[in-house]
Amino acid sequence: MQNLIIVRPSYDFALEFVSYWLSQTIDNASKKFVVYDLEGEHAYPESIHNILEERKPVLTLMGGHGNPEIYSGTDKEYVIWTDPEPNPNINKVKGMVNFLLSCSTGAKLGPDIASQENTFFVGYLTDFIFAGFEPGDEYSYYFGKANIDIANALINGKTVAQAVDAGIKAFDEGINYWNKSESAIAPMINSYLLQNKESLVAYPGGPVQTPVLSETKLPLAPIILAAAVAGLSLLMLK
Amino acid sequence: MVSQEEKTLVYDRYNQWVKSLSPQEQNLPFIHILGKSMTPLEALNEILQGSAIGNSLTRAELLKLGYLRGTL
Repeated sequence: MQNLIIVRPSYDFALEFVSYWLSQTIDNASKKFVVYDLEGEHAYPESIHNILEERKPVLTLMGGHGNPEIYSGTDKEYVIWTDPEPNPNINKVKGMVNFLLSCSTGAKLGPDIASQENTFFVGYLTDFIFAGFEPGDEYSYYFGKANIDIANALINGKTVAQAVDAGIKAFDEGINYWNKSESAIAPMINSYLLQNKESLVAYPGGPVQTPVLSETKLPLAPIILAAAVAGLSLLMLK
Repeated sequence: MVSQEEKTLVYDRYNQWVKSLSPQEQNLPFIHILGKSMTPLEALNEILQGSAIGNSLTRAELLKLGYLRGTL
């Protein structure tokens, strides 16, 4: 069997959710791959790099914090980075399909990773925002489902575009669910679900959808945004 | 960039939501972004201050409001 690596740092409360979600993919992954699950204290760069270099996984599922140039593991230690940091190390994931569940890595790190031969990336262009009082609760459910569905699509051999489609479908399910809710929390949850959906990208292939969040002043913003979402007019949000 | 007008609009919407929560819910970590977990009251303060986190929350809400208006 081929190898797969799951990276699940959990050193802060937000990452406890991310770690929990990625743990939900292990059973499925174990049916098809030899799984290297680096959880919590094991999610330091040295351990991750050792697996990447020695086991050459074909698929990486990596949660953690990020920014446009950097993906980090436990204690925010840099794991994969690109310019302008010195000595970019994107070659560590060359030839792999990579899903980075982190903020903003889809803006630069992702395209740079996917610029390498036979290398793919799925992730988020902007901040990944979510809500929840504890992992597994109803508030965080659809944020987790979207990412679990993306991961499972890749595990099951789907393309990165199909994986993104699976994520979008789950985000839409969540939006529809909360749109029907009378909970006072629902409108805020929907704004986070929508942002994450719009932020999903796959490379090669470019952004799936490009949200228009210009610096336009408010009176014009609705017009521009309305134009940007033509075709989604049936989506009624709170 | 987030304009003052946009910030005020979103702040008012969050404030309305936060006031509808119980005191316990207002003070439990609930919103997670950029490595920070915030209570609803803390999120409200971030929006008011126009911090990076607050502006991210504001942009998310504005994105949704754009969708809303696009349906009218």
